[in-house]
Amino acid sequence: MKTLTAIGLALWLFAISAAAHAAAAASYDGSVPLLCAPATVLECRTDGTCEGTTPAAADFPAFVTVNPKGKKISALDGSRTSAIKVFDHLSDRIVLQGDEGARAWTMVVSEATGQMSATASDADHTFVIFGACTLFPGGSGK
Amino acid sequence: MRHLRPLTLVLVIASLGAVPVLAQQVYVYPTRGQTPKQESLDKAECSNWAVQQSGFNPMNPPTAMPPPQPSYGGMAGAGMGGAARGAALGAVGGAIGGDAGKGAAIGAGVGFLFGRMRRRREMEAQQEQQQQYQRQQQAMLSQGRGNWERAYKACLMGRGYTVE
Repeated sequence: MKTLTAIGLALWLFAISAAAHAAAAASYDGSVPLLCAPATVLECRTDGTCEGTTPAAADFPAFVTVNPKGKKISALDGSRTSAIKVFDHLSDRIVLQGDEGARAWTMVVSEATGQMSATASDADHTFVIFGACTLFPGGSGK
Repeated sequence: MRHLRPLTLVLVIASLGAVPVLAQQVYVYPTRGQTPKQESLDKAECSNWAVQQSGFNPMNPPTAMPPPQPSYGGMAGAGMGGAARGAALGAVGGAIGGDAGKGAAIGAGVGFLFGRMRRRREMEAQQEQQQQYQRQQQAMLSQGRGNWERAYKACLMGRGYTVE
């Protein structure tokens, strides 16, 4: 009897845990845009060297809106846009991917902290971007 | 005749104003006893002549052409990529929505978020290109001024002035 009770308790705990995990994983469904601020940019080359720079120096917008529902990521003023081709979850992280001509990009955002990293790569060059994102309910994600 | 004198005076004053500042840096001495009034007229006429001869007007120097625009290497080799494709798609979307112009304007930015990121070497090359362009512009301006000044001095010397 005690064994059955223990198994039942374990199953109950597992169910609770699984439900909580599922709830956490589904916490961001992409219906609300994100506002992201890149802070640091690294430029990496095939010779193995990377060089740090600022978003402005690399000609990257100071703020970008991520709109998974509208399937696009844009500069805050809407002047520059990229289509989101993949929107997925990986553990407690949001994963976004797209491409522009010769460059492919990937963005990963922690749902827990909002911390963000992104890469934009072509065959012989990669930009690595670090920053942070937050919910942007008013953002239209132009 | 009396009516003409004020008019002449006005013309002299006007012509004095037309002599470029550069001419004022030139020391001119009348070797044939020319009056200050005559000297002013000669300076104004020589200034105009120098403009005609040199093709350069210090009062209205040629406007510089806009510097070369940077190209975005990240989008190179992408076929109909970047702005062109974006503008085309934007125009189609705008046309469906009834506002092709607006659609094209929005579309112009599509594909440029990451694609427009500039490599350091590209930036350095662009900066060097722009600096070279500025040096060329300055050299052209300097050459034009030099030609005008030589013509101006030649004219004044021909009219009996020592010019330094």
